[in-house]
Amino acid sequence: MNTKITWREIPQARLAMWALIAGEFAIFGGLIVMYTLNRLKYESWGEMAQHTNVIAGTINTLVLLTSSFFVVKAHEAALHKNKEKVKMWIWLTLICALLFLGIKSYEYYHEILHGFTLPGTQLLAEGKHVETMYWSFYYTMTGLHGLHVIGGALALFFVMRHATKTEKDYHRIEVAGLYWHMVDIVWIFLFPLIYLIH
Amino acid sequence: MNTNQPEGLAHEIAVPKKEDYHGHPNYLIIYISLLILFAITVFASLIPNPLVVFIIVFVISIVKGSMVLLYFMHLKWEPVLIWILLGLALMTLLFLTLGLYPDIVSVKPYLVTKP
Repeated sequence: MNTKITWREIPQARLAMWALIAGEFAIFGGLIVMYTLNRLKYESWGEMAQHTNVIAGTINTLVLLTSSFFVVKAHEAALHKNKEKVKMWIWLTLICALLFLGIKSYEYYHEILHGFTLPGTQLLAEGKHVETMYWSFYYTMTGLHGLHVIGGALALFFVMRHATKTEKDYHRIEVAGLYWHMVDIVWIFLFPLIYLIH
Repeated sequence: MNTNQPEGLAHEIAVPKKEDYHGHPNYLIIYISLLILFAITVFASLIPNPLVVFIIVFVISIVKGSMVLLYFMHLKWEPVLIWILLGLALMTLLFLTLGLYPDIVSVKPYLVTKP
């Protein structure tokens, strides 16, 4: 059951978070649009995409989708001020965040080891300037996304700790959760574009 | 006291309406749907034509992203102001695309290889 509210009744924190999310969509959307236009232009980007670890990307997508489900369950528990369930769901989300970052770090390690770096020194030396651009986009998009994962996880941790300790401000779980879902949506677009289209 | 009670949680503390004005879809069904769409995305990537793969995975990504927005983020129940905010972000993207498109398509690969 739900009740329609007017724009004047939107809780301030939620409105502020939606404004932030709109800005984030413009930032990541811009990167995705530029990546897509270049990807359609340069066929060699498809060859570069073959060097990404599809299995790791697939696992990370599953991890983030699952974490989104955990966050929405935490929000449901927060509505009922169920401290134990809030803790459980948020900790599960944080484990997913750590798992995501761990897998992404593993990917970065192997890509750098093979000479695919942000400045692309090795590729530039081989005269592959267009290919270097692929890795610049790759590290910018996934790196920026990774920073948002860290930010979202920290926000969830602190609002969970505050809410469960003081038994108030449970609404902040939902607000931080909105941010987490935004991080998930960005990855939903990044994963197929970067990993799957060769 | 006015309350909204998601099914199965009636035994827990009642929720004031102002804190819970949106609906509570079955989150598990949404999650499973997202997993199914994700599996379709992965299998679609096995199609040998990159353009076909691009179109399929992009459409599925839009559907998945919309499901998260509408049901996990409860956008479906938000007032029109929130939709306008997101619409503005999309319009910014549209202008960005229109502005950048000529630059990206007109750059010759040799200009990139010989800066």
